Amino acid sequence: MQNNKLLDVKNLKKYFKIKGKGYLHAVDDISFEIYKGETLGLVGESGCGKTTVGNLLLRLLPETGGSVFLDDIDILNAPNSLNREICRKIQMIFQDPYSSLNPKKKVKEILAEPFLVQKIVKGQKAVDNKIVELCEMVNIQKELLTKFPFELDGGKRQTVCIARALAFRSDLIVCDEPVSSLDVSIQAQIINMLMDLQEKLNMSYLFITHDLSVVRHISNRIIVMYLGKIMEESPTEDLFERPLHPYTKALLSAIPSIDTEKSMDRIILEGDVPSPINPPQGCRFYKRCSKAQPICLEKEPQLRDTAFPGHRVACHFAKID
Amino acid sequence: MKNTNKDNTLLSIKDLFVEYRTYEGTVKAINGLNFSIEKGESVGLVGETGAGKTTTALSILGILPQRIAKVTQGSIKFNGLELLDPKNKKELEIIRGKRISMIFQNPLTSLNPVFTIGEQIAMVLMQHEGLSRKKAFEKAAITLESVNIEPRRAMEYPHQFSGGMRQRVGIAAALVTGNPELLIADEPTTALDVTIQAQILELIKKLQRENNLSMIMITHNLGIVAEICTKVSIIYSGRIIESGSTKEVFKNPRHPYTIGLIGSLPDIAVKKTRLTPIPGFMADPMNLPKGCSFNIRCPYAQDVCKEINPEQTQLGADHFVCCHFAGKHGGLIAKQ
Repeated sequence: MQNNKLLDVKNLKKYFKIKGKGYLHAVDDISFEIYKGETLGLVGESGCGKTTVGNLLLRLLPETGGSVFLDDIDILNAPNSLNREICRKIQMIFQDPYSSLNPKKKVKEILAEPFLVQKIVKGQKAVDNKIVELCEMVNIQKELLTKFPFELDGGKRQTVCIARALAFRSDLIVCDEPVSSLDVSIQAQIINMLMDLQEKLNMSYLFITHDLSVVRHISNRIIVMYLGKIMEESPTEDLFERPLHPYTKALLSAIPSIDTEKSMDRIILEGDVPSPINPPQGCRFYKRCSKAQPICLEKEPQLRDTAFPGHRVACHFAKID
Repeated sequence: MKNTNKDNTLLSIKDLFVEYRTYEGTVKAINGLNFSIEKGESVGLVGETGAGKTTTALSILGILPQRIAKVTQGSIKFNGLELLDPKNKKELEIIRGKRISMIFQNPLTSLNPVFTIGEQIAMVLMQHEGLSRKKAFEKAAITLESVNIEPRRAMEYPHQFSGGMRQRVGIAAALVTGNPELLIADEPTTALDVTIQAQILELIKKLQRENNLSMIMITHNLGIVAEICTKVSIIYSGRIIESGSTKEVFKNPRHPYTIGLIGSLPDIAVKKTRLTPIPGFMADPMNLPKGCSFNIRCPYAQDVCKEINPEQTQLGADHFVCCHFAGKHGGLIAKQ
């Protein structure tokens, strides 16, 4: 698997300056890789920095520090001449299909836009052909092309967003909560479509979500974030069988399941997620952790390997063998 | 649902029809809804957006938007009192907020941003218990303690609280008058993170245990229903299409929509290889199809489904389904 590395993120940081208060540590020194053809799930609660990670990879925000390599291109420091190429390689599907489509443009114009910007497809006819191709890929009926986004429901809108992201058969698609604003029955349609497309086009997904049931279904590996830090990283099944970090354990146990007999003992965390503005020294999870010791307050635990392949955890007391 | 034990029925809704009159046309939100809840019971009302869950709750409390919404038919009886009868308006005002309380979906919009939370909870007490402003505020502060918020924070405004705390304020306001007989929780945790959701659910469970509350839990999250509710009613296009005990309905769903709903959910405890979504989209409430409103999406639809809206069929002691084929074919659908 090592050779198939697509994206290599090293020590990525993003601080936002808050007037009079200091710095908000949205993403604080995180490193991870994405391999070709895999889905990496990025989970965490609101405010943990998962969307910021997505935006940094797309270069929608300037980074504070760190580097991101995509196929040996250092995309954060790449010359402007490479901009178009990088855009073709990474695309994004946004959370809210109601606000990520231009309300003044028809579906056809929305889907044509990537080609017009990139200028690699010449002539109206060629662009039209490309659009038809995209529509076939995601099952958009031809009638929809002449409609405006407001005429479509949530599921169809998100389908249009997916089609737009597929325009260049990108290597990596960052999916930022692509199904969380949709109804359950529509959610399943979109998830299935994403999985089918991945099989067909051999893309990688970075799947950002707060919904662990969805992430279990779609991901090969999962990263759990808390307050801008990675707490645990693991292959999906391993994480669900053997969560090591106290936060992951609480997170997994918090989800109500239909099957009440199988659901785990509930661990209730006290309090709320603390503010990411000037976070304390030591472990970020210290305040809510039931196993916290003095050392957790003093020394920040580093992400370390465990006896289980690919499973890493940032906790002083996690059982790693 | 027929009541075997009539005295125990707390709330019963019979044959309810509600419409919204908009510029674009008439939206038929509730179409012949039958629902009942007994004392001490907690029922989950499950459905997708636009199925009529919230409209049902608003109808019970008589707080539908007056200018556009109209109850065209039906009855809602609370302890035998007809809530839809205009003559009972005075009684309804006393019942609302005191004997029937509601927790709203979005804690950010259901609290008034220009009043402190203490004042807002106190308003309930001033209205229902005739307390003075000062006394009411004191009692409101004490109530906050029961939902794990420090009493001194009663002086603060909603924006100073986190989402989970705001929702706890909403719960405190719903419960402040003592023992409501019925609590309607309209998606109380949808806007919250999972660990906060777990806190709120735990709180609701505790209150339920201590006060013997009857509760209608409106949600689209089947996991929450499995955990909190003893019974479940599945709503589709303004009609209850399947109802029964939670265990029975989830283990042995009989309506194609319920089967689809369960199949389309990724569940944390089970690894599924592929989700089985329900094809198509919900019926347009302005233009409902003839017959069963699910017929356009139903993989088992026959001619009869396009003509006649199915009546309720009883399957088990407490399991009701609105489908032409659920009873007759002995679970033929369920097995496929």
